Amino acid sequence: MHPAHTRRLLKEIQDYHNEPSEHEGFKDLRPRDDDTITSWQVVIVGPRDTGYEGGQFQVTIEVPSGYPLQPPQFRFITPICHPNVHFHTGEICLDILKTAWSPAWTLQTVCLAIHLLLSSPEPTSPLNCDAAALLRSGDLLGYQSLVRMYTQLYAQQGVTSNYQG
Amino acid sequence: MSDPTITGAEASTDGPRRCWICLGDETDSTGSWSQPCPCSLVCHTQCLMRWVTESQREDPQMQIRCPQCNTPYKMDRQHSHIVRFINRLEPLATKAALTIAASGLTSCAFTCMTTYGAYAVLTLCGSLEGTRLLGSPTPWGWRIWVGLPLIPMILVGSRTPIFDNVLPLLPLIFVQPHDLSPTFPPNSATIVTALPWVRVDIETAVNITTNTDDGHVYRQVLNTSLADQIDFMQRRDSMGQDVLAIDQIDQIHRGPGDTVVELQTGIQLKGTAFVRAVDIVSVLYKYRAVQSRKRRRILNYGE
Repeated sequence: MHPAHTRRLLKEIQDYHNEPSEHEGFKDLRPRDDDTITSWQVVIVGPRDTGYEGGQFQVTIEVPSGYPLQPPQFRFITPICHPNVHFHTGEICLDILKTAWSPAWTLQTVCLAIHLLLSSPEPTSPLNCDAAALLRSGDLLGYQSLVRMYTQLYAQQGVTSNYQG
Repeated sequence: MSDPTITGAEASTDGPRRCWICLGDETDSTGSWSQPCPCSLVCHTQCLMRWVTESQREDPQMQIRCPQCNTPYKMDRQHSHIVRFINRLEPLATKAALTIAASGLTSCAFTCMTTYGAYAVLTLCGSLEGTRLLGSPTPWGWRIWVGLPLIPMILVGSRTPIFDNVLPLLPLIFVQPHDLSPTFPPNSATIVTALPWVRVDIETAVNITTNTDDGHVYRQVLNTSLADQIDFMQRRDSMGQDVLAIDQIDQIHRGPGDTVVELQTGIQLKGTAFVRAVDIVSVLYKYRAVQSRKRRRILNYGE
């Protein structure tokens, strides 16, 4: 008998492959290698009509042994300029990954939530103060230019330079 | 553990029921099922309890809600009487803690001051006269209860000019009128009553003779005279004891001091018993609380 988190992750893999529905917001959600089922990776697709459009952002997922009672840890590997993502560590500030977590979320739905976070940043609880300050001061043009610049620098297709934090 | 039966779960879902926590369904998992809210989410009773326990790790009183429809889950807690009683008592006790601490400190100070007062009276007037003045502790009149704790305060206060105006009158309140009989040598009550007047007299005398407000000289004179008076009292006390008849000695030994010792022993015994009782109740409370925590469960919707 597998431990509870393994059984649930196997179910999630099954669901992911059974549902042929279009996963617009992300792709390649899978365990990093065949041996460990607790380390995952996913590519978040930059939402259309934002500075992130055309960008592909690699994210790693660490699943704790307490999953699904405890939230998984998501971290951006590709550098991204976003008010709620730490530019150097890739840490994500999202309530459902902390206090508002419930087992009703799956790795898939969290990926969708992160995709949505890219298009609706929350500058009141920033991890990237500079991006948040631009947004709060109403400098939308400056904010979007900055975001687009970093997306082109690090996250465009074919660019492989990952930030080594 | 009872096995709750689901009433509306099958009607609202297509296919086999699926636990929203472990994602296991009826075909590949075992266990009883719970449906704690009116929405489509159903789960294993065991999974639900694990989730509730995890959520309430930091705040045991936290209200758990359905993550989908936000309906609060109803918890069935079968608390025993003692757990219910103490849970109700605890907030009251928290509120009353300050008052209890304050009154404890006050009664502590009161006891110390009364004991000191009684000791002072016995030292100043001698065992025999002191015992007679204080009378039997059961019951002490209000004069004693108010007067004894005032003694240390007055002694301290009399070193400063605060009480100069009321000091001569204070003893009159607490000394019984029939104690103030004009005898020779004057009895202790009369002397104590007269002391403040002597002090005033000396002050006046000093003021007249030196015609200055030199407080230093005045204090010196006053202290010497007070010390002399107390010295006189003590000598008088020891003289008095020498001539005591043998049959009175037993009576002295059964003086207020012994009563105080008996009183203290009684308080200690009662205190020990109280602490033991509190220990027993708290152990019982913890045992019962653990029991009811084991037995708790989330009610099905509509149950």
